[in-house]
Amino acid sequence: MSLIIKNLTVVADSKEVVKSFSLTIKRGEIHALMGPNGSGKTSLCSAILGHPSYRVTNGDILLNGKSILALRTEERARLGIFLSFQEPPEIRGVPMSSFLRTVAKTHAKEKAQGTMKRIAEYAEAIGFGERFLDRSVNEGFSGGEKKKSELLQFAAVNPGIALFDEIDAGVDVDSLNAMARILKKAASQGTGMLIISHSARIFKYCAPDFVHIINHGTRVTSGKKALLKKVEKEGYRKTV
Amino acid sequence: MKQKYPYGFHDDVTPLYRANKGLSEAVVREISAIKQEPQWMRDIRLRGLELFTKKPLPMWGADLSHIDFNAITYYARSSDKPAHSWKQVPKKIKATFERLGVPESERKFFAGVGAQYDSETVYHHIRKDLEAQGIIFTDTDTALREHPDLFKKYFGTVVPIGDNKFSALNAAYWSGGSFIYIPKGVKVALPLQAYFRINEKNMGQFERTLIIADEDSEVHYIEGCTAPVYTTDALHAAVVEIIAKPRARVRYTTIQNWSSNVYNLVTKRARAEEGALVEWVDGNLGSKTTMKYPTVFLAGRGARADILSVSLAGKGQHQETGAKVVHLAPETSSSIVAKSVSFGGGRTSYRGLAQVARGARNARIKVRCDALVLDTKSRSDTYPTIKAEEHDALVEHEATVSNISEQELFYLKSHGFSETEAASLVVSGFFEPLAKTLPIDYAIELNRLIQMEMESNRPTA
Repeated sequence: MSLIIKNLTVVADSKEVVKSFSLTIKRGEIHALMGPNGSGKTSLCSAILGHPSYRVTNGDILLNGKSILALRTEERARLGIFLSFQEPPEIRGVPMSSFLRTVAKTHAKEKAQGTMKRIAEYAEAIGFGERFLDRSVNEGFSGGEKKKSELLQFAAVNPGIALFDEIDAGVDVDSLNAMARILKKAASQGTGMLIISHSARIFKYCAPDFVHIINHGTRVTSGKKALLKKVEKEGYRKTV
Repeated sequence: MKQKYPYGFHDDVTPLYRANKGLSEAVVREISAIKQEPQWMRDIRLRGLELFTKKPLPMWGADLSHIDFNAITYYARSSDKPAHSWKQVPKKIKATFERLGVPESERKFFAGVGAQYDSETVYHHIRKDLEAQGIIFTDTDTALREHPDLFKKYFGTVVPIGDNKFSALNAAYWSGGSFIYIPKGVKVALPLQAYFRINEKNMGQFERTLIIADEDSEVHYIEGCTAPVYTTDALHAAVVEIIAKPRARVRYTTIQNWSSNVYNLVTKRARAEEGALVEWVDGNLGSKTTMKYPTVFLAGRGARADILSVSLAGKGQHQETGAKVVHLAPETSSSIVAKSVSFGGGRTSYRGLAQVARGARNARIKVRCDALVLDTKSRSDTYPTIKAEEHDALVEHEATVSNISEQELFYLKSHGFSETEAASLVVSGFFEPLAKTLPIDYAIELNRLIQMEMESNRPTA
């Protein structure tokens, strides 16, 4: 699966939050997207999934060569684009386990049973115990727990393209390492990814093929792994 | 794909007997004669009709002005007497109950089942081992014949004939319903179930249920109801009385799923004696208009009430529901949780009473109302009344109104759920406290019903 973002401009609250942004994510590629707070990372993700408050005023988004701009959010999701939320909302009264099962069924490429087994494996690896699976989706979860919940949903969907909006924020080191390995494995099996993060740690076990820096809604520079080090050492301002 | 109300079919069954339409003393006398009742019951019926005629329609609550009481059939029976095995139930009627899953669920998880079709109970069965313990579970008409002393001692003691216009109407025309007696110390592990089905057009169904749980006993009763979809209205005006003797525990669960042409006006009330616990679990998914406020009189020291009222109102529906607790004795406590969802132009109202009478020292009342309003066409109101005559009463009332946030909706859609699926999921989650009280198959069925309601009412975006 490939996702092409072509010269995209997005308006939210009558402000241009993404400006003439272009990026191509191919099968199995890992792209890192970094940038200061408010630089347009989350807006970009919202626009890719068709959030109603984010209006595309110019450019296009192509999935496997076809524009998805006219599609509803759920249609984009069902085609295989997944977004891991920076701040996932709580869905009260809906247990994690049944939610994951429903999501897995919606996206079933294989028998839901196999998916559930994989989810259970991942849950154990990232220290997300069974007691969480009995709880309502994200309800009363800490920041890190919410991110773990997002990772399991990623596993339930098993998407062709995955956007991770700060999936590492608030996650403890051991779990983070396990998380990164899971992402790396998914990429090796063909999932193209965009990983948004402020910290280079996640990329230690899940090395990006490309690194992009965004500022004021525009891609300002791109490079390989070396760019990560530079950002870490010098900060965005100097790098940009 | 839109799914419609799946129970809206009607059977081509010609009743053995159908009373003339409309209110009349002659019909009341006729019903009493057919049932070969004692005179005291016929007198109650006539008094009920008199009181019904005298009392005005309530000036509060839902709009009932469109009910045409003279277009209603007040009594219709399709079988001679209740059968004790499904084999003896008339074929077409049996097929209906099979379609509704009643015999199947009986085999799976009930200790006894009653099934009512229009005015009369067509089937009643209780497991032999329970019967041997002295448990009585039968239709109310049979109880009047076979257990006259018990019947007379409790009938009308919790809901007097003239309590309200519709309890009076029920007194006049009552037929069918369940009669339950649980002897001292007997605990019934599996629930007893009753299923109420209206089939006739413009039918009025007036079942009367009486539950007596003797000291230290325990029972759970579940009722479900459906009706065909007709363009003209039907009326369901039941009365339920529960007597929980000292330290008894009674749970009464209703999953009301009437078709959208049924006026559902029901009086449900319990008396909890010393140390007894009464739980009303009241789920209202269907009907055109419902007015129902399950009530507990906490009459003995340390009695407890737990009421969960859940309502879903779509297009053209008004669910006027709530709960009442009246604390008459010291150290009594009660909890009311009311949850309602309105969508597609539907309306929900919570109407509640929390009362502490003089002498009911150290009473505790906790009321919580949560309303979920899914769109701007829909409406939700709260009408709580609190009357406390003791200074040490602790009454808490909390109310919230919410909707599905844009973020929540986007989150679910980005997981592949359509707008309707997302809304159904949020509503199911909101109703989780109800699902939790039900046997697992029932809980799954509940979620399926919610989804169907939402799909049939909501245009897909």
